[in-house]
Amino acid sequence: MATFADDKELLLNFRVPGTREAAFTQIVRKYQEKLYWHIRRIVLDHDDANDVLQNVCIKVWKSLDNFREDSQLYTWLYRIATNESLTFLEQQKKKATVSFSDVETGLSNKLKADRYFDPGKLEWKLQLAITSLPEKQRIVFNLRYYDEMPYEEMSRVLETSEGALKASYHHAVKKIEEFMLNH
Amino acid sequence: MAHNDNIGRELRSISEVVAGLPGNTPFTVPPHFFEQFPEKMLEAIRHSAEGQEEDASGILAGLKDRSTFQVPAGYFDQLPVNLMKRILLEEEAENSLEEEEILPAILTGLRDLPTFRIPAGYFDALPEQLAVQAIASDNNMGVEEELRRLSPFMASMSREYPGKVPEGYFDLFPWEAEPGQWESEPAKVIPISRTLPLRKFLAAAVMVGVLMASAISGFHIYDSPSDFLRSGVNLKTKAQFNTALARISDQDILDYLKSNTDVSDADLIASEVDEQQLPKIEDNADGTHPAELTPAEISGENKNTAQ
Repeated sequence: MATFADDKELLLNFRVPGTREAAFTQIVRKYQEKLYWHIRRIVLDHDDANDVLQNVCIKVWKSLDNFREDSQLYTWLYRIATNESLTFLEQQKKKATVSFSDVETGLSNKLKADRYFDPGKLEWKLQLAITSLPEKQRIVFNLRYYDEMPYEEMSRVLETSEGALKASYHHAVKKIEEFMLNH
Repeated sequence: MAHNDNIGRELRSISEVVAGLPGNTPFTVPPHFFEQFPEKMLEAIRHSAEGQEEDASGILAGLKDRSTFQVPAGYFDQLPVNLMKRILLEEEAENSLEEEEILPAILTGLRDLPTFRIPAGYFDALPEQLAVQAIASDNNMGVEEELRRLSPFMASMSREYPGKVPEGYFDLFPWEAEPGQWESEPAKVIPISRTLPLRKFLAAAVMVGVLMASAISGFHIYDSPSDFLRSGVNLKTKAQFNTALARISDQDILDYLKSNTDVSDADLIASEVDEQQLPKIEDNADGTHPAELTPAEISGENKNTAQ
């Protein structure tokens, strides 16, 4: 497993013109997989995730000079990735001119269209259950279940109180359990 | 993916079923995707930056001077004149439309619409109401205001009386009464009796009775020969005629005949005159003249005849 420099050191190098591109490459390499999977679980499709991830990286490149170090870098990156993913879904809604429930159906269909999709496997069934959740609960569940993000950090990413996040996570787990038992 | 112990316990407390599910993600990514992604991303950013510079300096600068749309030759030279012509034509068309089409149509349509309603019998009671209001207004109106309403011309004239009084008239007038001059007994107060109307009715009844009795008895008083002649047809007997005629003096008859004799009067008089009593020509054949004619009158008449 590759070792990466500390976030503070990376940020310092980014602010120096001579080491700017190298520092940016290190930051991307450090957080790319986390950001990718976070985005992928929201948009489901690899190509869409790739597009969103590139947009996130471009925004990071443009905005990193203004990043305030009062929060952790990866929290800031997750917030950008979450917003970009939700913006991407909103754009898809407008293009499709369909209702939100139809978008959920579209996400389910997109999941089933994956060439590796196997409905007999529990992990795919779990993904189907997650797509049945409301958007906010889906993001909370993913951040907590897959990324093991503490509520405190999740609160900063989603700008929501920890109590509300715990409630959302509780509801999401119960709905997934019900889905798994009934399907 | 190994769950954090706290997160695992939390999940198990919520749902044993979900906690037992595999924690791995079934999604796959192309081979070496993450290995090449940072370099590709940096390359994309460089290209994007170069593209932006190109857009700013090259493409946009080149497009700036290019005009996509074309206008006819001389369009802008003639534009002010053409716009002014169009404005004038539209204003003229709007005015004519209002005067010739819109306004007459609107007025014609409105003419027959019962827009205003009046209470039933309004015009029947209107004159009385106006009279009452006019009287009330007159009562409250001052002299100046009343005259101004009646005749502004009269109101503008001087109200000073043009006549004069003899000099010193008012100085000599005994305005200042001497002691005791105006002290006299109080004026007699005549009470208004409630029987007064009854007396009036009685007096009127007496007068009506007298007039009716005189009409029945044929009592007439003729002021002039004209009255007598006009009423002659009503005389029942010749004796009545003669009695009435006797009351009129001869001088009145002469004056009347001089000023009012005409054909109809002559016929009327002739019809009433007894020809047997008139003087005959033979009565004057001896050269004598009627006693009424003086010698001077007779000579004058002869002189005129001679001429």
